[in-house]
Amino acid sequence: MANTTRIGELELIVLLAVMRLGDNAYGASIKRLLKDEIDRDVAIGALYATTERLKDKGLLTSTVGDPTPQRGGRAKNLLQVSAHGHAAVGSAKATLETLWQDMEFDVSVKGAE
Amino acid sequence: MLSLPPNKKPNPNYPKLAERLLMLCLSREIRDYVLGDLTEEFADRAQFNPSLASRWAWKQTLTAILKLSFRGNLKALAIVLNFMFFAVLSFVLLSLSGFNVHISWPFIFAGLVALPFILLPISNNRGVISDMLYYISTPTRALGKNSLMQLSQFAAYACNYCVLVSPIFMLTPLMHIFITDEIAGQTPSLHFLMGMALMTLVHATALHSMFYLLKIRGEQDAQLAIV
Repeated sequence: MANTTRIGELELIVLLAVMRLGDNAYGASIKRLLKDEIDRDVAIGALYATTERLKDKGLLTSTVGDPTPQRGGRAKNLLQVSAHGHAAVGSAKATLETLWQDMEFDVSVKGAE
Repeated sequence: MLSLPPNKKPNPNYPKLAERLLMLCLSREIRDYVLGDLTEEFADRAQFNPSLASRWAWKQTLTAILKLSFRGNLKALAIVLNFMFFAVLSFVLLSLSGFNVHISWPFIFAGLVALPFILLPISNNRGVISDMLYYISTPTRALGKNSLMQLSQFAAYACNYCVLVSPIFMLTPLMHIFITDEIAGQTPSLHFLMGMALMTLVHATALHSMFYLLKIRGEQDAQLAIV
């Protein structure tokens, strides 16, 4: 397997959310997306801990957005997935697909037991 | 969705005390962003139910402080507390060393309080009790999320180190007391015993620092991963 940075579940989820949001990826919008799309209510502290970790790993980069009155005049921390981040997401997807291959496992049936 | 009574005006401002706490506890690099995000969501929530929004804000504030302060301020605080712990240990050891060594437990008053903790792992061959003693003795490790997983690893390092190094420090004062008091019939030198107490402290500090460095390295190696 290629030598890519290892990422945890929440890290993968945050990277995917940032990729989906494009130019509008910042704390509150990521939090909203995760709540709306996968019904996961992530605390802002947990979210920032994850994004800071991803920045340390070089998977995310950030720029300063414009301050808005809605945010009390505070700027946004706009996030982008780096090339290294894209590689890590691709690697995670490939790994999961490999493990799911030929698997006869009905999630809905197992979950209902 | 709940709506406000017409006579009640929502307060769109984030709770002042929570805001101050965040400003105080979070690092300068992220606090404005965190507060901005919280303010944005709080304003949405406060339109419908201000009291629930306020409760939500406090929950988010406390979670953010707990999760994010460890990256900066609290980690520094933990290091300071650990050095304070050894400052207290130093004071106790040096104070005890100043007592009259003819009191019934000379090894304690010679700054050898750590002796039972050193002998236990040797006699116990790295058993569970000695592992726990060393684990409890270094408070920093309790702050790490993988601390329990690494308990055995740290204890093994601790025991190996103590078995190799400690007897040199620990047996010298005992020999000194034995030779001067029992053979020569003279009073053991308090300066020498206090020096040994200081060496015990240095030894404990070195051991502790080694544990701390191992903890940092262990955390870097032990990332929970799905890839």
